[in-house]
Amino acid sequence: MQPPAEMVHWLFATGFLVLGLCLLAEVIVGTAVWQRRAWRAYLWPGVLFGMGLLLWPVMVFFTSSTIHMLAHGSWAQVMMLAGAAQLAVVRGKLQSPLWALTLSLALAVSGLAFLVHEQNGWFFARSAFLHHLLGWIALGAAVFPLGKAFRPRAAVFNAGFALTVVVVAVALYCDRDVAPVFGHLSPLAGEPHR
Amino acid sequence: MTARARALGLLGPATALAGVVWAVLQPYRITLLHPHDQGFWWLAVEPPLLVVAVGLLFHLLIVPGLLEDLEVE
Repeated sequence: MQPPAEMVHWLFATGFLVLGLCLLAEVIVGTAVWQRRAWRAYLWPGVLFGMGLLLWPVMVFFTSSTIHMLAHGSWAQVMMLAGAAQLAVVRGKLQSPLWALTLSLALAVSGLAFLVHEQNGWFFARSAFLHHLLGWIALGAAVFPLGKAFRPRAAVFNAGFALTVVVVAVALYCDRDVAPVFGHLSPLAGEPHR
Repeated sequence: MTARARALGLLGPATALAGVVWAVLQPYRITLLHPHDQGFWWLAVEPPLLVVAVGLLFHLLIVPGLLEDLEVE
């Protein structure tokens, strides 16, 4: 009784939306206020780590080829690494702001994995378009946590990272099984579903 | 109320509103409106409703404490 693949995307989109709202709230109130309550400080790193963990069953049950398996496995690893590093930073076990580089690594690896494992062109079908879009968004947005690592208080990097996560959520919500994108759907993609 | 508090107070409602607008624009995504012959997952996972739920839960569970702490600050 597995959910259809697009629903897995929608559930992860919901996780990214939660993550994005928490990050935006932290940008608005500042890290000191956000971390005033312990449960709140652990919230978004915990969500990130949890989503990385949940990518493992996705890798096992939803991948149809080796390259898909490798892509999902690499996402799981880098998301867990980034989440765990941020949890340790919040806990005080890790001190350096350079640990934000794990977020940058997560975005860069995710972007590359999206682009490498999508075999079709941009307008083949909606899922192909979203893979290309998400890949380039993730690759480009890796600059935000990179900047955050060297200038942790710069609002532009924190806000950019938070908005990136929200955009990723929106893109994941757009996923459908077989659907056209801007009126394009390759006949090789199959019959469009609902 | 400060600009920060106002912005914070808008995050959840704006998210929930986005979900409502989405539901109006694409009502076929709300399978509860036509539940016959739908499987479990199609009834359990309805993206516009998920967006509304996230916005509301964020506003009700996270924002009040944040506003209190922001005021103390």
